Amino acid sequence: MEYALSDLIMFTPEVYLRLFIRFNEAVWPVQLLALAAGVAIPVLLTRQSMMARKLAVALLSLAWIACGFGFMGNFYAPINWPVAYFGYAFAGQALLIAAVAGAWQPPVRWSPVGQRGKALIALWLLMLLVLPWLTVAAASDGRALPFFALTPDLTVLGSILATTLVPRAVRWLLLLIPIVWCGFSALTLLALGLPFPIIVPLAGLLAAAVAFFLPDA
Amino acid sequence: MICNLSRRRFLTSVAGAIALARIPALIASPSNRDLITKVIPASGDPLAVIGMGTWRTFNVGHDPVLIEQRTEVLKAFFQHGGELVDSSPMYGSAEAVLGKALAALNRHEDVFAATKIWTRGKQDGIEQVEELERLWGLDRFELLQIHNLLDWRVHMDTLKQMRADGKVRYIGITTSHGRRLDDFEDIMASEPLDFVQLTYNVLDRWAEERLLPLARERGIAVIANRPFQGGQLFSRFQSQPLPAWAGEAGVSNWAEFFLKFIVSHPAVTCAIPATTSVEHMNENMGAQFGMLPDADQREQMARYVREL
Repeated sequence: MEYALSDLIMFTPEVYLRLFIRFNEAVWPVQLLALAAGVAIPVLLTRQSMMARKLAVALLSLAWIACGFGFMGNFYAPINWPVAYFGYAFAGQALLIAAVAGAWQPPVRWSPVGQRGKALIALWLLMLLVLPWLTVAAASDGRALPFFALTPDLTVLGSILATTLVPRAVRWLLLLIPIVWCGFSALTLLALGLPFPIIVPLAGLLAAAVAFFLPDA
Repeated sequence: MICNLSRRRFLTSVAGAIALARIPALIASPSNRDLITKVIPASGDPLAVIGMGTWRTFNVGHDPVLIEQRTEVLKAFFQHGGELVDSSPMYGSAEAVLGKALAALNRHEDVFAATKIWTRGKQDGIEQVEELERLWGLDRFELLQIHNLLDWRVHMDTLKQMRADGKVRYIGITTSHGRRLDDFEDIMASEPLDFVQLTYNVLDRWAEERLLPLARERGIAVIANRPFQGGQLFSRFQSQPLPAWAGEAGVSNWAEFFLKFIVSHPAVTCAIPATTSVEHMNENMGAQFGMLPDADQREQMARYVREL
């Protein structure tokens, strides 16, 4: 007898999907702030002002902290103990983003006119408004809607997209924790047999691979 | 457990015919059949043959809706005469949820509480047991096991001392999926164990070769985990009909088929299916009533499943 991947998962899909419902009930109306941040970040990144772009970086850092100590620390970690460590890693990533993209190598301006800029807008909107419904579909319950800046998979995917704006020489620094998380989350969702939500971390892995090799804008 | 003569122990010690009388729900059950128990070799006490596992099923975090639902599952377990509940600190929030469910049902004195040490180091092991007692709301466990032999030499000394001091009644070791079988067998042969827990079901029968005979020889009670292969047995066979002779083997559904195959082995003391559903719990618990298949019927059962 060999261990199957599902043998390593200590909770059921029902318990996982109900995390989103319980979290949304607990933090309402913070979701509105998260949605506002999801709109504000790309808008700020398109500004000429360096201060505006640094503000976007600060919002992104806050998103990682909110995920790490909110959803992950208080809701997900009690049923999946490795997530407690990821919660701290998310806080570390927030500091890393602030140090690398906020101070050392700030992001270039997100030009919304070029092909690359338009593709990035399309992907961001997909992340913010479309992909969350995959979890809703899995749960068959609208209350299970995950949010960028509050739940990890969407936050990580959005951050990987934003990473393409920092110089390629330092981009890998910002991709390490997102790649590890996406791998962990994808394996977890695979073991749980949740084919819809797994699309988000898999998209994260694909985006990270592209971001790693993508030349500077 | 508050004192040695708890309600559960008093009642189980006069099992047999009285076993029916101690749980009113049994009297009220439609079948009114005899509760099947097996003897724990170390003490001679009887134990109901169907226990309850908590792997995956009781790890619901702080979710109040699911905690209440799991409490109903545990309530059904007790109503059918269930005794042994097994958990592990590896199972996330399962032990905390169990503690809440036991408190809600006020059943601390009725449970045969079995858990595991799953850490390294003597002091960490002792502290883990104390923390688990707090989570379950118990003064002591009936059974403490070393989970998957993790740091077993250190914990074995601790457990033997705890048993000698009356801080736990029985001690044991666990494995699943057939891991570290040689070590497992060596420990069974050399250490004064009361229980072992291993994987045994109608398809995974490797324990029959050496471990189950050794358990009988050494007077060690056996808990069978993964009785449904983590649910895969139902996925594979539930759509198939039961054999025409199932009734003769005391079987009326697939849950009883799988469980009665296990607990009818002479060396097996108890099987620990896990479920999130009251309905499934009711089906599982049916396996500890009525008659058990004999040796020929067991082989017939195994053959039937193999050929499906």
